[in-house]
Amino acid sequence: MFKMFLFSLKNLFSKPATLPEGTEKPKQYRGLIKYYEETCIYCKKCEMVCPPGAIIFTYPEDGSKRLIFHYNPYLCIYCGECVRACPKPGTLVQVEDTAPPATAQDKPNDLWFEVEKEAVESKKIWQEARRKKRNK
Amino acid sequence: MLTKFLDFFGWARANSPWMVHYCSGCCSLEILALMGPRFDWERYGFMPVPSPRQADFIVITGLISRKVLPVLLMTYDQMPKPRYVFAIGSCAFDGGPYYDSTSVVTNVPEILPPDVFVAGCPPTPEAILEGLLEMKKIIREKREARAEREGTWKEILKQELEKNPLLSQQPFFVGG
Amino acid sequence: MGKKFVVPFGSQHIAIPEPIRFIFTTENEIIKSVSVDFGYVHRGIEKACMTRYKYTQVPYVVARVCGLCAVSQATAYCMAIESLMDIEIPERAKYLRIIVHEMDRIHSHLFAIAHLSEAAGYENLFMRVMRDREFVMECLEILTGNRIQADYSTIGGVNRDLTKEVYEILKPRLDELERRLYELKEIFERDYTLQKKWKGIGVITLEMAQKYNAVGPVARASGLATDCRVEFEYLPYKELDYKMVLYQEGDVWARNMVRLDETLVSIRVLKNAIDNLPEGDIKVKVKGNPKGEALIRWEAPRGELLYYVKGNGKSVLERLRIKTPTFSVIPVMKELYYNQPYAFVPDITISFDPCLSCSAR
Repeated sequence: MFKMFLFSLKNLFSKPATLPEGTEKPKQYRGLIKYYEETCIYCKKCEMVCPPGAIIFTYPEDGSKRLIFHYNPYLCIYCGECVRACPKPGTLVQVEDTAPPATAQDKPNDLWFEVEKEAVESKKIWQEARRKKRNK
Repeated sequence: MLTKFLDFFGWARANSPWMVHYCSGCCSLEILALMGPRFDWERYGFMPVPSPRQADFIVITGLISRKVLPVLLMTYDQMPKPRYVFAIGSCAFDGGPYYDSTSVVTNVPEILPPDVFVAGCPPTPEAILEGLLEMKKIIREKREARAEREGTWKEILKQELEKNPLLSQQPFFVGG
Repeated sequence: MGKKFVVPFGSQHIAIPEPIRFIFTTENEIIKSVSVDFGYVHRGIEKACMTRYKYTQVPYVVARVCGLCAVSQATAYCMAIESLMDIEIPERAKYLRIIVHEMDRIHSHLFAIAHLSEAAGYENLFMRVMRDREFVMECLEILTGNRIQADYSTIGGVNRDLTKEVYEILKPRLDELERRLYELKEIFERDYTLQKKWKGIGVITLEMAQKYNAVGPVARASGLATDCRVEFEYLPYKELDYKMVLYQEGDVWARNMVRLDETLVSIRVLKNAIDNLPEGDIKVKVKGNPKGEALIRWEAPRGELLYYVKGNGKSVLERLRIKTPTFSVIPVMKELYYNQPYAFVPDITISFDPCLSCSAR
């Protein structure tokens, strides 16, 4: 008990151990995912591999091959499987930033529920358009 | 002069927000790391309290299963107004990696809508501190809590209390 | 005769940050009967791994069973699949798995020690131990990318490598941590108030430990010598000079000292592994689907972990069964509460270091 008392007295006159706000420390943190559309071949492997389903592709109405990419940083578990599964290196890149905290005015949940419904409905319209193109 | 005097209470309430911590997941370890000396949260005035009757906001860390839901709503019901909700982690958003399990409640934001939400699996303590400073701004501006207007938690709590009246169990005497 | 008084120790409590529920019946503040209720965090992980996740995605899901033993769960599953499909991983991957494993064990044990000192009222010691724990968390963040959920092991090896810059950052931090831990050990052995508070409370004898099948540091504090790292040869612990820690008293003080001594042994094993890393690849390519059955027993920070895996040629497993260490230790915990004053309940519960997310997975 006496030793802890001396230790506390010594701490009174030395530098504090808290991290001040805004310090930069060296880290290799696994953060957000960035998508580059130029090299993507739309194989949808990243959508199949993701465990919680944070990547969803929606389909355009005219039946063309270029799908639209949606990513939800609030559902992602930051494991990095999509980066490893992509056959074209450089399409998906993991950076060191974190997602900003969301307040009630951004409404992140309602937007994502709509995206999920739209993916199912737009797929039917897209398949109809492709069938018409092939029959012509 | 009166408005300046009443503003003093808002300033006092925003500079020492006390919280109730309901832990049921892996994100609660990062809250306990915030109590340590490296990411000190007492310099901003935050403190965990044992009873919900003394708290300003509730922290939901992690997932909510069907057995836990009545206990969580009962704890939120016992807090005095104004009361806010703070959610952490991707499990509180849509169920996380367990989104099609039969015993996990996946639409928690529809039942008890949060005021601030921090993403990550789990987020680092620096990110949680950013979210807590947002919460301080909300308390300072005296915005109404989102759970008072929206959310279906009142009907669900009434149904659970009818099914199981011993839910709000207090210590009692038995025999003589 | 006094009146009987029923006290619920509910699932939301500030002393124990775990969702467990007790109902005590006390008479004159002495406990006469107890009933335990857990299972608040059930998620159906075994069913989910059998219906919708492929066998290569399962390590990321199973690691989220528990936050404190995340590395042990993923490594045990990968070892089960590798022994089923006859995959041989390179030597460098085995040493890297040991390094992350021991770092996980150090931070989990330091957390338990800090928590127990806070429940005893000694908040100064809680702050000191949490400050020393931050050295290990920095090392984990630099090596794996995240502090707690390190998605590090996959089937066939590991995900990231230990380069020269990482080695320059790790070495001074580990030396500093070892020096501080030796100072902590002196304080815990000789402090006057802690010995008055912890000695002679919650005693588990050797016959009780054998009858109720205790595992982990709880059993090693009573004299029962069981440790999966010595009995099985999945990872090369013998070359790195690992020894088991045993105490004979079996009370709350002995369980605390077992965890502190295990931390010192882990740091020695870590330093040996970092200095003698062999060269080679870190990953092997995996083809095909699993077929057959396999059973693995491995050592998590809290005790023995058991995995059973069955596959039938498809990419989704047929059966996965997990047995976690806290589940085996709850019958012993229930026996210790009888005829004790009610004020000893937090000390006894926290000295077991329960992890309720594991037991209701």
